[in-house]
Amino acid sequence: MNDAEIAALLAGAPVEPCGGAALHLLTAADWLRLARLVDPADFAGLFVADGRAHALYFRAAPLLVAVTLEGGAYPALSPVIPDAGWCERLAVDREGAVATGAADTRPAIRHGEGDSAWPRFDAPAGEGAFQVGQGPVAGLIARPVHRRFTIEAGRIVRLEHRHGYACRDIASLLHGKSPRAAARFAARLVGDAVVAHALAFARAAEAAGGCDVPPRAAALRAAMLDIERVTAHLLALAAALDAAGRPGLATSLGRARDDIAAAVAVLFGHRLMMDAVTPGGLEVDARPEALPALAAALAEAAASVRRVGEFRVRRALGPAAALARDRARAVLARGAAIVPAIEAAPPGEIVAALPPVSAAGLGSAGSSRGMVHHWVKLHDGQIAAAALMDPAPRLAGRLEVAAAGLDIEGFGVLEACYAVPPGAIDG
Amino acid sequence: MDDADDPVRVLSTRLAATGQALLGRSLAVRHVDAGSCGGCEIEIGACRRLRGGMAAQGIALVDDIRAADILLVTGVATRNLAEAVRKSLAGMAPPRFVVAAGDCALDGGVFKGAPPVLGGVQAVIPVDLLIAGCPPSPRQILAGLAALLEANAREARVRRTEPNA
Ligand code: SF4
Repeated sequence: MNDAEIAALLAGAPVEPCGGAALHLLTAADWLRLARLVDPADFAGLFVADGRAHALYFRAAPLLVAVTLEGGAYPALSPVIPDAGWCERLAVDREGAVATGAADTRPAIRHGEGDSAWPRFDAPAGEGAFQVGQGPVAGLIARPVHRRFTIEAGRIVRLEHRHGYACRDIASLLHGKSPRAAARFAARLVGDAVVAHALAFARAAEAAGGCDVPPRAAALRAAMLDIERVTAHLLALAAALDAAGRPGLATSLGRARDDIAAAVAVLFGHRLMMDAVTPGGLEVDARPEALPALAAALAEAAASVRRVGEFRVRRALGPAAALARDRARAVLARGAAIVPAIEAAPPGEIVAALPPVSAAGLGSAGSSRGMVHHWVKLHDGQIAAAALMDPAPRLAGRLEVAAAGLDIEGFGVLEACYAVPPGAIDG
Repeated sequence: MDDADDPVRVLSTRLAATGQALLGRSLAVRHVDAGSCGGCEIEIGACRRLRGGMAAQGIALVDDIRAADILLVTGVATRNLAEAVRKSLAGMAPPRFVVAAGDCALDGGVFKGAPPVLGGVQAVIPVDLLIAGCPPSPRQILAGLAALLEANAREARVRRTEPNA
């Protein structure tokens, strides 16, 4: 079995401590061998720090490995793990680290002059094919991304993205700050996963410092994550239904989200729960008087979301029907657990002190797109290096593949249901 | 709550009426994301859905910049989006208004000073109204738009009544 082979491979590798995981230092050959042994779906992210390339795999638990850069390069994972493609392109733009043998070597977020930089799209392949550009200002609520479709006989044969418009360089802004000060930046990577990123970041800092979060904070954090996932699923479903020409149901789903947000504004003091999570615990406690309104809004969400299963709705969603069904199921499953979980949260403190250590840590949290992961390295309690990993770059690659064969309208529905905010890629 | 007391309905009615008085037709808003986390966009979406709000009053988001009266800009204003923001404004016919919504759009917000960030919409184009908040709530966005148009309607009235204006 692969698991036994993976264990044997790791057993021979030196290990460095990393809170929340162990960092296995691999040779270039083992780095590639491991990539072939793991399930490609477990690939969770890639980052470059300390003269090394790091790969994170995650199933039930994280597996963090690194390989030393040789002349600024490391062996590419993308030939065996296609999801790594965009991550490798990002690593070139951010850290100048080159993935040797990468499937795609074009920049991801760097805009500029010269041959290798944007703008440059592959020329249309066949006769009768033409290209259509879209963005960076497109759609009623615009998203800062440029898409280039190659179209043949009314169907998309190729989709390419140009990202980097919304780049704020968040990872470098964390540098030199205390985890508490830096949490505000981590939370603002992407607006539909504020809690997920704030929490993954906090957990990374807590794991590095060996900080135990009070039980009340841990319980409320879990409920906050569920609230955020439910609202993000509702927004993605609403966007997909809008694109699919079902504005009535889209509005119902959107309003259910808005009513949840209004209840959460009372419950945790902010509609998106911005800055509610801090390394060590929480900044705010729950105000139970908001629970009846939250329960009512969640019930409203459940009623609307059940309609996503109707035949006519599924047909309208076309290529996004399966993804929409998964999102609808998640709303029902997670939504039902939220209020009881908040009521059952044990009383007590909500924040613990974070010891000022020199150590590294890894933290994870669930978002509506999948798990998000943060790695931080602290020096005397200040951030010396950090990596923020959202599923967005992996999903961007998958969306490009899934677009092939669709017409532009069908793609619009699928893209809305994917919900990959450019800010989550651009950083 | 009685409809007449609903603050959203009151604000939206005021906004629609002022828009009519200023332009003689329904207001059209073009949104541009100049480098946001997407949080402000979530609340602009919610603003559209407010019961008795924008949509009920015929105020629409449009994707044709030439049809827009208000340019609603979110995000920090990154170097890579400055050109798109300028082009959007250039595509609008007067009278045109620019609203910067969200702390990022005000001055870069927490990202102020980061190398790819110009530091707010005002670093790129002139802004008529700033709406603070991270993100501003749907009601704050609506109230901001109403206040902007009312101020301009007042100014237009003053100009009309001044003898030598
Ligand atoms: S103001 Fe806040 S919500 Fe709006 S884009 Fe900036 S960080 Fe996101």
